[in-house]
Amino acid sequence: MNYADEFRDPVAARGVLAAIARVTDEIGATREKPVHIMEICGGHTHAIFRYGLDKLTPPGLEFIHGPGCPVCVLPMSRIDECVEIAERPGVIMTTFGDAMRVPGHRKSLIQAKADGADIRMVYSPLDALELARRHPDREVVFFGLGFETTTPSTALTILQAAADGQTNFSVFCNHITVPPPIKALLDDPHMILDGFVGPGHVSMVIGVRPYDFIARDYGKPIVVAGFEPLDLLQSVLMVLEQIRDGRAEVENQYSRVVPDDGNPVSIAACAEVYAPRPSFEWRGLGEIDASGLCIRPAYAAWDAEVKFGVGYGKGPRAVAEPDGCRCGDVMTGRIKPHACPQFGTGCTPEMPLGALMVSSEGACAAYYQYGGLRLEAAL
Amino acid sequence: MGVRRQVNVACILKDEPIEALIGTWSLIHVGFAMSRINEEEAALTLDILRQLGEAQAEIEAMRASERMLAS
Ligand code: SF4
Repeated sequence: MNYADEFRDPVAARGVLAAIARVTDEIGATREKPVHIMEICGGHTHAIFRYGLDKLTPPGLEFIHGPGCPVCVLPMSRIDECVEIAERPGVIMTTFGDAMRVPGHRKSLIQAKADGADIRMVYSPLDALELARRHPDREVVFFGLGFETTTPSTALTILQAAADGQTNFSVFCNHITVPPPIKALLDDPHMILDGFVGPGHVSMVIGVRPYDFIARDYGKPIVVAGFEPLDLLQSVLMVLEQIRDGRAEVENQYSRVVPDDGNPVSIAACAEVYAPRPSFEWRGLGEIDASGLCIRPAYAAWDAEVKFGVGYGKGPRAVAEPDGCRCGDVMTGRIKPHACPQFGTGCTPEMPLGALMVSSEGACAAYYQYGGLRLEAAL
Repeated sequence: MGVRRQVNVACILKDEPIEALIGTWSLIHVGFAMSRINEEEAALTLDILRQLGEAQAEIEAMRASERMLAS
């Protein structure tokens, strides 16, 4: 058993798919009047396209791709600020690879690197801290971004830096949290969602209780799901069964990884290091209350915003997207990626115009890579 | 073929020596072990999935048989 192959078994998949078709029928959903299920997490969006699950499920079931790709929702102004820090003399900027190509107003990190800034890709924030140890004469900054899956790793690295007294290390914090944008989506009067597939890796950190409001206050089902094809299909079936039965509950399909209460060590580290910002901008969605995290004053010595005087709300806030880009409409499910006039022409994974084309978890990149273009255009 | 890499296990260690982790599977993210795979829960989930698969095979066999009798 390696906890991956078992969850790709085609025989079991046939069974789940048949059950999905049956329950979709029982709900009375059709191609004209489909049931809408949002997969919140970009990892799920990627898996749906990679395994072609959207083509295997009945036409009465429509997936709406959620805002859960951290690179895709990062506002341009933050890329600009990151480039600004990276271009200061003496700075080594470190980042996860997928943030390198996100377009900023002036340039992306990869362009800044080509122009001479010292920008390096790292696998872990711990590698950035190690770099700081090896270069005591330089300022090493880690471009911290991601949801609750990643927030603990940055928090624990800051705690490590603090314990070691490593003061030439700091974090440019862009961490964001999942529940606030879900609430914002649910408060949208044009909201058409019938249920949610909840993020698996985020939930292994925060547990399933933070989603209670979705069932309790909005009457929508949510099932926290794993990332193998069978995990996703089973979770979709569980959401559909709730809809059919008129239930709205928080269920956990990914219990082999997600304890209901999450990971207490991670939660404690995050509470120690971060405080919520009053609001944070999401690309395509706008400002969302209490959706971003900043570093607490106690750890200001490791906060790049403090160290470099660059900060959220300090610079001019330009929110305009590049001309002709429809990222916001794709993000909110109003249009499918190929309906954007730039899709596949002015915007490709090699030369992305919008952020949804940058990360493999972005809806546009997934469509592009796995042929959503041909299939949907043919319909 | 795999990759060798040092990971931080602070998040998955309960009150136990580090040796307790030997032979267990964990989910690793950016250099940190974030969750220990719960084998019992994994087996339960697979059971449900298998039953769905078997039930479907059964239904298909019944249908095929019906078609055969009707022809
Ligand atoms: S194709 Fe490019 S510009 Fe258009 S919505 Fe997608 S990412 Fe944005």
